[in-house]
Amino acid sequence: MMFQCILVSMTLIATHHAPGGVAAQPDAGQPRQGRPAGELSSMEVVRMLDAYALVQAQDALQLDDDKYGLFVTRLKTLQETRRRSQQARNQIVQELRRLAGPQAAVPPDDAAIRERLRALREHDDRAAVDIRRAHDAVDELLDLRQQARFRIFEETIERRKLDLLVRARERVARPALPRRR
Amino acid sequence: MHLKDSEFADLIDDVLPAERRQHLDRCESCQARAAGLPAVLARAVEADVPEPSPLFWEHFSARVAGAIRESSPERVPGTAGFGWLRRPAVVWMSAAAVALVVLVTTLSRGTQPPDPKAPVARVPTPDAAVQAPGVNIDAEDVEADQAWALVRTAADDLEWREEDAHAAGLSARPGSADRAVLELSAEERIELARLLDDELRRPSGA
Repeated sequence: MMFQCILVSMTLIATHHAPGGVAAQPDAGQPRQGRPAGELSSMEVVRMLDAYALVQAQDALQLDDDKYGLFVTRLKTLQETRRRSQQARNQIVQELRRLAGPQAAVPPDDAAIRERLRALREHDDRAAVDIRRAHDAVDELLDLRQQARFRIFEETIERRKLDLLVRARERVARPALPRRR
Repeated sequence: MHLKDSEFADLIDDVLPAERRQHLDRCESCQARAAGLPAVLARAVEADVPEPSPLFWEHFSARVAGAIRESSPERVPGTAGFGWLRRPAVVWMSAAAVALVVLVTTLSRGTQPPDPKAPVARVPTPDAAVQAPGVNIDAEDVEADQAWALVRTAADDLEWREEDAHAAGLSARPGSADRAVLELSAEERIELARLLDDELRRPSGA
């Protein structure tokens, strides 16, 4: 459990020091670039959700402490690989929107569209390989049942994160509601 | 040609092109419809629009994608039971329903004061530029789409049981939450941080 404790501590410290974070104090820090004190960026929230997933993983997969450290590293690699891939994909789709969307130039540049479509296909193929490789690296640390649990975990944790998001919105929309756990 | 539903919306917004306005001046049928708009407008203003949940979008978009696949011409052998969906009458009725919905939404949006908490009308905060890695959605395009906003809002009333979602081939995939985070306001992000803090402080298995 040592790694889990460290991770929780790191998360709490990071949150605590985030201006307006969970344990925000009046002197919790200076406003960051272009952002008033008392706010969290989407990036920070995404990182907190990642940390939450990492903490939950140890219980869900019943990982030993000696494996957990390596697991954290590889799971983070998997998360980053997925994000990078999605980011690159979004960029290509954005270019396609510019070339072929409602605001596209007339007549459309068919050669450029064809080239971007090819780039998208190539990207998808590459991303699938990269993600599979990162996934395999996580699997290497897990026995058969843990691998099965990891598949279930990935889906469950995403739903839990979404549930937390919904609850956050509910609380802001209806602050008088009793807070449920 | 008579004014389309979308053009009646333009009329309300006072952006109807001059040539179409000339048609309106001449056409009694269109004038009669235009005269009925204030009543529609009044009802739209009174409508209480609930806030959609982020969890819904994963299910909804997958369901729409599934429905599109199911109804594609390539799937004809397996979609005999849904052939009625392609009947012209059904198509036209659906189109008319969507057009009406768009009209009502447009009227509603045109007269209601902006609700800072409503995701369908949210003005991007400076943080919107700071996107999560891997998340590069053109949120402005989506948010500006009033028809889509209404579909989102109306669909929020639907409730999914987990087993139903699984049976339908729907699930929350990695990255779903990342995208949903982008829709949170600054206040909601702070509230989410509080919730996460609570969760992380809870003893294991609690």
